[in-house]
Amino acid sequence: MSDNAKKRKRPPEDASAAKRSRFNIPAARSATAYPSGEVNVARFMRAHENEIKSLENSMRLAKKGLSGRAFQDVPRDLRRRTGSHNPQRVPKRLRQQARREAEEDNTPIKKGKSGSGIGKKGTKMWLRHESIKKKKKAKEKRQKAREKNKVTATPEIAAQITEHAQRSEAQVPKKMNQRPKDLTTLAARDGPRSRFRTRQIHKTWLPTHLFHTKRARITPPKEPLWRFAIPLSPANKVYRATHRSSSQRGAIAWDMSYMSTIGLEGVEASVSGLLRALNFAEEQGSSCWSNKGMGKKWQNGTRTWEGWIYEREGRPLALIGPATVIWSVQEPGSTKREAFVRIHPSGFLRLWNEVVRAAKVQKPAVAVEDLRFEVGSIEIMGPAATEVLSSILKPTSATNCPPESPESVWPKLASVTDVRSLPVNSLFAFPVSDPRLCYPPKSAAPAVTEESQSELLETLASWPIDNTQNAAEIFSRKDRLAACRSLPSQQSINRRTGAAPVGQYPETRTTDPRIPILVFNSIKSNSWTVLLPWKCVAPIWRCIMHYPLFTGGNPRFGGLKERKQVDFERSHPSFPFDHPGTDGGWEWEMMERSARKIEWTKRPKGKRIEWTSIDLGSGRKGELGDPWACDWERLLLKGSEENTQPSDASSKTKAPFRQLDSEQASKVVASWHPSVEQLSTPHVFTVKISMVSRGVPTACARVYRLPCSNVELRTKWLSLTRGPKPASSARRHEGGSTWKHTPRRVAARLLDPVTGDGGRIKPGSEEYPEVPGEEDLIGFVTTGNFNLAEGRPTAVANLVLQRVLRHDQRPQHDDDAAAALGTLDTMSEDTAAGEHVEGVRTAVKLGQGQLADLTKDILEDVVSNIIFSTALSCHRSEKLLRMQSAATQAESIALSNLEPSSQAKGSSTQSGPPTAETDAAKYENGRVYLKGNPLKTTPDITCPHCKLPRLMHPIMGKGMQNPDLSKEYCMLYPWVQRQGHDVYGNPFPTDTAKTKKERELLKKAEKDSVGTPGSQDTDIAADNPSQSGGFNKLNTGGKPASYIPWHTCPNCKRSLLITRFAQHLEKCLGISGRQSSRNAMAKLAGQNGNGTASGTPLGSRMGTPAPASQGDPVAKVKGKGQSPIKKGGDDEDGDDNETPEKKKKPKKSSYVKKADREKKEGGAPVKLKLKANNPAKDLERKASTYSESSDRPDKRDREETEDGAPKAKKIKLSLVKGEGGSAPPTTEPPSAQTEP
Amino acid sequence: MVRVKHRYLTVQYLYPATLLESAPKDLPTTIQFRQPTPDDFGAGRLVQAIRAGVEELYGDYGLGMVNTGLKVNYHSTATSTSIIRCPQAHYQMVWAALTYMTKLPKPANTPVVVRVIRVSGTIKKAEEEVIRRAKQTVLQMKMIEAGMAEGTPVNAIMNAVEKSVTKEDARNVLAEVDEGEATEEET
Repeated sequence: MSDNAKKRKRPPEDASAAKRSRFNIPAARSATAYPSGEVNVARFMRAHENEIKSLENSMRLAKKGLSGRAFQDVPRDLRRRTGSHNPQRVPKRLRQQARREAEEDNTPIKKGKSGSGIGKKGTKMWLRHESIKKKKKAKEKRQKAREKNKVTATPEIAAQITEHAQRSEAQVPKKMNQRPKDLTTLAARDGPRSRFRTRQIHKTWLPTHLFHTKRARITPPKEPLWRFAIPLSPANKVYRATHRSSSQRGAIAWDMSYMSTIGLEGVEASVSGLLRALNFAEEQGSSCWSNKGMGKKWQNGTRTWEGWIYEREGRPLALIGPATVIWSVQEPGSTKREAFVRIHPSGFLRLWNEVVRAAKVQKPAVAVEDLRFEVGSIEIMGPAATEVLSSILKPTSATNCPPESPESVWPKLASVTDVRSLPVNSLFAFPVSDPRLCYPPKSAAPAVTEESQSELLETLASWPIDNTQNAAEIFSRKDRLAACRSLPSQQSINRRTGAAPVGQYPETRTTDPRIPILVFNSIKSNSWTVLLPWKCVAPIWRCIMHYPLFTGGNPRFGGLKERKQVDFERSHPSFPFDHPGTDGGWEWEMMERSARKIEWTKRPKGKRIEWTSIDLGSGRKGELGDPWACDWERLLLKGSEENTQPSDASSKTKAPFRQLDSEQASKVVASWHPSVEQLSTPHVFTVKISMVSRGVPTACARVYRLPCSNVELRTKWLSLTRGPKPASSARRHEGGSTWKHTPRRVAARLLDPVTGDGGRIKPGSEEYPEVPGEEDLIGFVTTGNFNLAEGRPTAVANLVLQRVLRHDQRPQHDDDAAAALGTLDTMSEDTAAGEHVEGVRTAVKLGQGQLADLTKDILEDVVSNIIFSTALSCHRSEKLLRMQSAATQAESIALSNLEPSSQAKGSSTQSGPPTAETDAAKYENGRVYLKGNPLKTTPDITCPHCKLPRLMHPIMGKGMQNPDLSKEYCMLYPWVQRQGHDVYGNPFPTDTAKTKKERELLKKAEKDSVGTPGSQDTDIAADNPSQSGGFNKLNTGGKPASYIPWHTCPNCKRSLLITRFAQHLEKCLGISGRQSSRNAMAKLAGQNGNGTASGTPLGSRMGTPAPASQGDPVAKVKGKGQSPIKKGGDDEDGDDNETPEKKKKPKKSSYVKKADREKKEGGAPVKLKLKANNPAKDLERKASTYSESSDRPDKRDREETEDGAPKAKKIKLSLVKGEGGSAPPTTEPPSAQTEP
Repeated sequence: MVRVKHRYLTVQYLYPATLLESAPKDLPTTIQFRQPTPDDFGAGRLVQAIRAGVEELYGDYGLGMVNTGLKVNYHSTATSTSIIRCPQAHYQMVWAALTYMTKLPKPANTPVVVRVIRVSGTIKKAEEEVIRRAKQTVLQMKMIEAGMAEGTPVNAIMNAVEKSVTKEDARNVLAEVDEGEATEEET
């Protein structure tokens, strides 16, 4: 029983009834469908209708049974991993269902253990109760005590109270109306409501804190970031959604109220003098101060300017951080100008101190104001960002405005989807009405008519705002405060909305607030930023969040993580995270270090990287430096280390490096001429890293340059890139290098299929090069991940300038220096990550057209190469032929000159060396010298073997030319191209091999026809075969289609057509026939009897000891030769001899074995005529034999001379016993036949 | 997906020879043809009949192959339709057994033609097919009830074709001209 209890409980019987019903579909019986057995149309119809119903129902049930767990109904971004087994993890509305399903499916429900347990239902609930009780008691005690006091000293207290009231009355208006005279004190935020005061002692909540606490993770209470409670990331899953809404669809907004604003007020010259003193936008060459173009517009207050702001003194400049400066438009009649400087809170204090000091220096002095808790901001980006803003922020005075004022232009921008299509860093400033009065917001349909589009285009092009922009109200403190004060409560707005007719917004009133806003776009971050009074942020934020986008959905919101992600996806270094050369960045790095270490120690041992045991190759163990840190301290040069090592406390907050602008850095690195200050203080600069091989770089990854001392290792690393360009290598433990998509590389990849990832050495394999030494460490990756925008892993890294350039200080390796230049080349290309987003894009992406062009170029190259090489080889072979023929001609002339004289002298005496000269070549003593270009001097080609001219054109088919038939030509004719013919001009065989009867018939017919006296030419040819002049038909060479090859029998040395060969072999070897059966019988008998002499029984494969085959092979051959079939054939030949073709006969191809030839020399000619050729082919055959003899004189000539005149007749097979058989069969090549 | 795979045969029983005694005389032939199956031919009998048929045709081997996955998923005697599940590899054996069935098994013993309408891999498609056919039948019956003659489908098709042809003709007019203008042109 106890065992049973431990088991999972059995599911209730009816739990999966729905699922099971799928397989038992209810069906009607005939008896129920037709109650009385009566069949009629109506019943029949109803039966079928019922069938439909029951089947549809079963399908529905089946569908339900298959899916439909509650946690699957949860929208994707709300799904939790534990939702499947923990009903608490699904939204409230689904909890009950989830619990029921879990019970039905027998899923063990796990109770979450999250939380402190002190909550209302927690395990430590009693703690809470106890403390509540205690507090109650304490309160009662206090009350009692007070009552006691009250009784004793009432008048005094009353006096005190009145005094206090008077004082506070006096204070209140003062607080409301004016701030302390000295504005250069740090702002204190307005006291938060008492309810939240204790939670904001060490930090400040953003104006939208209550919104975000419900929907996002916020910095832990004890660890605020930059003294703010900043939302870190939404509670939902948003990684991909952020990518999408920031670049493809929708919009994403951030409450950026934590950005600090400093207000400057004074004479224009003083304010600009202050900004100049802070070296604003120094890295851009101070182009903002120019008197035309963007600079002018910025100074006029119609554009914003983003640039770095530095400390006032000290060279090299110490970066405080990137700042945005906005001027107010000059008001007529006023000499004073205002400006806002916006900076990240991590750099605020430093900037504030600098500004205050610089302001005092200016004459007349500049009034500085800390607007941190007065001006809030919202940043919004994405294709729908403009649409959202233009429909939420409605100008108060939109109706009575000139058509070119910002108020009237603003609503028209709704259809702009890319902020970058607007003028660079343009701004709008106007008061807007409270958006809560137009709640719920309606989506603005974008203007799609052609008119409005062209109007919009015109507006964007001319941009009238530059002239019509008024001074922004947000610069005036009075207007800001008024807006905050006149902001109605939500309650009153609800009342008004309720009073309004259904479906309409409440009517506007004159007392409605005018919220002064300033909207500007940033080209760098591709976003809109709205500056507005601190207290107005929350209502506007809510409206933005609830705005229904035209494309569907609502704008998303993001946290700090999402802001970083967007920057990373654009390969844009974000401040302060990717700027370790600033104090803010350094502080962040210190924070991250400890966080990473804590994270690592928290993990179980088996699931964390054991940094100490990492093998770096060549005996080095353990990661370089602190594995959880971008260990910048290690990269400090020895000399500077002493300078910047004052104390531990300051090194925590003060960055030991100076940040260098990437563009400057790329210049320095490219020109290789750092300034003295750049060398004296350590500098870092940001680069973008993309991987050559696989692997994702993460934060803290070490970036090495190519090893400069170890040449072997260097080449190994270089071989990984497989390109001509060396690259600096970045690796953590996956390895990789900075690399760029050059068109050439793409081309190489196209042509070389091996150059994929497949051909590369994988990290972790034996051959993978080891990590370079510490002297080659140049920097660290600060942000790295898989980049959704690029579709491959990228990283933003910081490199130390001195480390990169240190190579220069050791000029002993010349080639190394050259290679280092290459390194720098790539780096300068990669540095684009720093400033210009466009620059990055062009550097990284390859346009579509570009690829097409590239492919076309490559293809054209390849094709032209092929054509060129073909033409070259043709030309060369032709030239060689001409040269040869020239030489041959000269040689033949020389030989012909020589021959008669040598013959006359009896060939024993030698005359002078033979010489000959043609107009193409000169023959001298066995050597031929060419004269001039053989292509010009030698018009025709002579065969070097047969010394005959070659035909230049085919004799039939395509391109044929009738040759001069009076000449003799070499047999190497040009190939023939003709339908139904092979390259020799022979027709393809049209029918199968003819049977013997047919052949005989044919032969007879031929005989009759040939027997006529008309066939003269054959006779002539036959008469003088040595003469070549008689040719009037050219032999095309090759074999005729009807040609059947022959083969020599290895046993009897007879040549046989291969069609007859097998048949012959059977008989010749005694396998078949009467004799063989006898042999077999004999063999069997021998085996059955006393066996062979050796006494062992022979296997079936042993030699047959049959008496008939025991004779010598010749005898056997003879026996075979006397077979009646052969006789018949020979008889025919004999008959042939009587025909008028008699003269030709000797020229017919009939073959004599070598052995026979020897014998023939001995005086007994033994001839074998095996084949009666088709007389139709005789002519060609004959001609071919002539030409063959001339073609291969070494082989055939000899035999011809041996055979002498064609006087020998066909002779029947008659082998002399012994001699023919004595010729060893192996020494005889089967093709050694000749003709008589 | 790794699982045991089946085939689902959708089967219809037709009764070409038997006349219903209790039927009115003007009963349409479709209904006569597809009259209800006797109730004593239940799912169990059907399975038995198939087994017997397979054994007869393919012997013990066939029976062994088929027996594993054979199941009647749906058997409606009122509409003479059933869905039979059988092993994927050997559904043809079952099909053959069904085709060679000429009479319902013993107690009923009526001559029957078993027609496999559809072979599908999922029960869903088999069900859909039955539904489709039932809908068609209902439509046909409605037309019969509405008083159209036997063979109404043909008539309906003819009507539809005629309609479409006239429509086409109307569309094929080269140019539509107002009548008044036409007369002017004629004059």
